[in-house]
Amino acid sequence: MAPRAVRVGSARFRMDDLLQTTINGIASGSIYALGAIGLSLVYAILKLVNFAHGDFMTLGGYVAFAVNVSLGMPLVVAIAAAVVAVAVLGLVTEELIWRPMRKRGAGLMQMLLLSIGLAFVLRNLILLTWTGESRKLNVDDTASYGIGIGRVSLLQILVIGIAAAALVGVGLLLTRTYVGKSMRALSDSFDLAEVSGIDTKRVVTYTWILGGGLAGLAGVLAAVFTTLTPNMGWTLLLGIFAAIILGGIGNPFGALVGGLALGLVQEWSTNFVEPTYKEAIGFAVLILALLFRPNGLLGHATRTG
Amino acid sequence: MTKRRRLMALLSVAVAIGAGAAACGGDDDKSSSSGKVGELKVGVLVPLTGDLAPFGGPNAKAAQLGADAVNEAAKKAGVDINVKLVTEDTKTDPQGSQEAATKLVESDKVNVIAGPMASSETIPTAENVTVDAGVPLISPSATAPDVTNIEDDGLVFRTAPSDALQGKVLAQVLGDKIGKDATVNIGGRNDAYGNALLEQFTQAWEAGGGKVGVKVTYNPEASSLDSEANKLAGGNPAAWVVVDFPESWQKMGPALLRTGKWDPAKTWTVDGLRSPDLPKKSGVKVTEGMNGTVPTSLDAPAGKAFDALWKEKVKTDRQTYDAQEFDAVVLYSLAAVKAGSNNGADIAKALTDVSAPGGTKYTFEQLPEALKAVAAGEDIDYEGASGPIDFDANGDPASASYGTWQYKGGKLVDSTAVFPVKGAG
Repeated sequence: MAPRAVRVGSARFRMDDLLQTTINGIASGSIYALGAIGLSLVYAILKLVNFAHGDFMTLGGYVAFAVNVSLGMPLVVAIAAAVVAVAVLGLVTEELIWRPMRKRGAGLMQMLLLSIGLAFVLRNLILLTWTGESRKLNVDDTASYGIGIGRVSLLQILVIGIAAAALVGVGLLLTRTYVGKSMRALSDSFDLAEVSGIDTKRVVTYTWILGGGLAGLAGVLAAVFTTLTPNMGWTLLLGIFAAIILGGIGNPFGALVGGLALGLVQEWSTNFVEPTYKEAIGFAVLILALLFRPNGLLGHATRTG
Repeated sequence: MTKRRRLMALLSVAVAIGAGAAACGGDDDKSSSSGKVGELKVGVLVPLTGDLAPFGGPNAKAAQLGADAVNEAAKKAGVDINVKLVTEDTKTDPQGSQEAATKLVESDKVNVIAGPMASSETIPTAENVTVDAGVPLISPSATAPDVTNIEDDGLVFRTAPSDALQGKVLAQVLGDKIGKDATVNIGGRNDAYGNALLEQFTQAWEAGGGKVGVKVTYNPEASSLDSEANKLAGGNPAAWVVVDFPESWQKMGPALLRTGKWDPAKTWTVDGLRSPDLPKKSGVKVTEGMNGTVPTSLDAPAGKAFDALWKEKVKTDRQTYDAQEFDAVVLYSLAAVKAGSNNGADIAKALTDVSAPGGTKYTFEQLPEALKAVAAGEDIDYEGASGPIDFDANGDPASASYGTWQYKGGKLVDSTAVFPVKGAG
């Protein structure tokens, strides 16, 4: 592999290709980042590794499809519907599954396995309702505009714009509001937060609204960006987990950085090696990064002993 | 101890019953001279979901047409064969296909299997499931040259020709259009089908003096293909050659168009993207003017008759490889009658015999006569709805004809020109 890659690289590497793959990388990185922040929040606060997060996203995509295509409403309404629907799904699963399980003292592993089961149930319900045919939202997926020596598509503008707005919103929420600060307190130590008088039940509710809503939004954007199939979220989930680990587990800002870094590395790699390897390159970089920063890009060194 | 003895007694009774049943089965099988088959269970592996989903439904219907034709003809001819189909979804996935095949073989106990469609499904399904189980497999559409080389104990066949031929035809047709020494960019899905076709095309194209500018193989599962598209579109080639399936083309096609450098009317592709509903699904702009090759049944002995049958019974648009699936079911039935058995291994041995030259020629229109002749022990040569078929020693059709097609005004238009090629395998 290596010698051939270098040859291809030196022969074909050009400035406009670098710019183009940067735009592409930010776009696909935005989707990883949005998905990763929701998943990371839920993990940090509830200690739940939610394998159903990808299928939460898929459901968001299909709700948007139902509103945008089946009912013919504008994309904005579809996004709102998807965000609300998946946030509600998060709350319902909290009431029916996660809280009762926590009460019975279920550990990380039991919850993780439960979430995998939930993922299969959701995916097959989606398959039953909407069949396996691939779908698209009602967005012009052929439009693109030249900017200087690069080109940006309408899809990329939509994805990057909406994701950026949502990420700034989440950032402000976490750093400036009481609820956001409470969430971060819970993620540092659930018990300490509880004894210092924070209404943890309320914060858990907000966590699901935020985590679920972000999953719904990420799902719509993924459906806009690629094609909508029942496997869409599941295939994205691996990259999302990688983004979380790369950025530093449990740190929402790390998830943002990790998502963008993963997207950029994958797309940049297409300048040097066969594009079919881009996912593998992304994970190779993940391993390398962890060798040098075992706690992720934004992770703090942990005390041992 | 008593408990254990009772268990042993129970077990021996069970074994005795089993042996009795097996003996009965043996008796049934022995009446071979009169061409008695009884029930022939055909497992149908089709991609109802996944990247080949547009092909799955029509192919399942083609298999049903074949079964109906045989059952009707058998009644007319007084031959004892009753074809029953069990259909399973492969999800256009190697793993899904193997799971479906395992279910068909172990739980449904099918005698033979028609399908799966994709080469990437067919190779592992044959190697890991059907060959070991002694169940013959006929794929209607696995065109990758590697299918020829499966170690199959004579159990793997296909009614579609190897892409060793299609790559040559594509190079020939494209050379006539844009000149044999032109530079083309080529791209395709990174799987058995895509890689093999691109390789076969490249060999034929470069042998004719042409050049390949950029080659891009991509992961059809990737969530975005913008960088891949940008690479493939670049360099101002005289034409593009792409190999893909309909569902993944809904990602790649628009991505290519978004580069602003790609022109569908200068793009050539193959059988995998020939699907009547593709312009509607991926957007007319993404397919308009695209050209392709496909194994054709236009000059097939029973091509026109099959077209008429399809329009009368199924009523939807024809789909690529429907006739090949139909032929697979009919060939199994003829071979079963020839073997006088529904045993998979016996059927596989008779398949070449009923399809290859030598003996009286019959098409599906003379199916009652064909069944009668086979049952009487005569040598026949089935002339298919998809082509003459004539299985060679590798289980591949010995010759094939290709046609060309184009998306025009959002519709799939087949050209009437036919390119026959000899010497497959």
